[in-house]
Amino acid sequence: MARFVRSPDVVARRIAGELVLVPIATRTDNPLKRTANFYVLNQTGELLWQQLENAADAPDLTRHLIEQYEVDEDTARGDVEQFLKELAACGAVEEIREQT
Amino acid sequence: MTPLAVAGIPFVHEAEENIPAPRFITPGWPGTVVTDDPIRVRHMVGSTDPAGLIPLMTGLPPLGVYYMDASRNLAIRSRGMEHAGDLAQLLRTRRGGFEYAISYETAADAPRLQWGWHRTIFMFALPLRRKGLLVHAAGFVLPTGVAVVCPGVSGAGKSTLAQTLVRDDGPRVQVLGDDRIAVTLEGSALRAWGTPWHSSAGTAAALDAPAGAIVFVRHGRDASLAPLPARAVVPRLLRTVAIPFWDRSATEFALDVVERIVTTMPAFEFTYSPVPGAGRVLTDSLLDALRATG
Repeated sequence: MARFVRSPDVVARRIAGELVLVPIATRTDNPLKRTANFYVLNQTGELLWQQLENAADAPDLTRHLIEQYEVDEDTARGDVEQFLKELAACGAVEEIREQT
Repeated sequence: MTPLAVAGIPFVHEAEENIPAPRFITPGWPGTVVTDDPIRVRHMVGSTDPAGLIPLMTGLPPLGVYYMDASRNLAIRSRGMEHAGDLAQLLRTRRGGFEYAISYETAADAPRLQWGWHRTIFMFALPLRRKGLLVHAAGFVLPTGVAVVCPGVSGAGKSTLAQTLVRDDGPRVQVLGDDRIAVTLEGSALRAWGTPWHSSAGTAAALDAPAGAIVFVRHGRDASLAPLPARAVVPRLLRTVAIPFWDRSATEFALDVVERIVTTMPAFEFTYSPVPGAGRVLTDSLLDALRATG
């Protein structure tokens, strides 16, 4: 199971109550990876961002979301997938490559 | 010839002998007062091959590919700017915010290509110098001397707003511009500047004033002004500012300026259609609202 963690190459700033992420462009062999220059997290996103201070996989995050917000599992799983997809695409979270 | 300035920063062009001297920015731009060291741009014949540069983003306007060099400085290769067909040019940073070099394949390419670069260089030079931000916005100065910044992405109605204000309230308000406003941080105070980069209203005034309000426009029937909570301003403002996303420290500064704007400037949404009198409603409503907030 893929695990994810916050990228060190991101500036996070709380402005007027909103958590803003700006991924800092880095050396990458995939130029299409950097597709957004900022991201404002919603309430769910903020909760997931907090969890990603330490590495977590999608089921971990989904469980946490269900506990906190009492949402059904399908909704939580969908939110987590969307969150990870978008934040990975803009470079704010990274997938941890398992060592073999 | 004295170099002309934008928001206090003069542009100095240095061209190799066989390259025609670049014109300045926008015809008719008179330049602002000079308060800062210049941006120096060296124009030269040379390779436009981006080999060895690291791609950062593709598909950004104006038809350019953004790269970073080994020292984490921005480079941009573009083709076909300013209707110049398939000609290519390569912008390299020599000292971020201060010195740049633009290469052309031949000297004859240069006059057809070089004019589009001022805005790109300037919009990143402001945060790289820790001076401010270029906002995709219209702007105007109220009779009280306070500048109002009206951010909006393309098509948001910035030019229409500028035209409406000139038509309805021309003698009372001074329009700074209809497309790009520079917001500088001077100590803890914000200042708004007109820039040469205008849109269809053609307004580009070399004026500046203390920045005192932010207004987003929305199309609707009856003209009315409503306060906007600061948190609603954050994503809307961020969509309109140029952040130097390859440089952590300059990005931190850019967010400092965004934070300063959001937390110190009263924000409003102006709903209107550009019927006669709408501009005056905006001015009067803003004067009332700002008087009420002190």
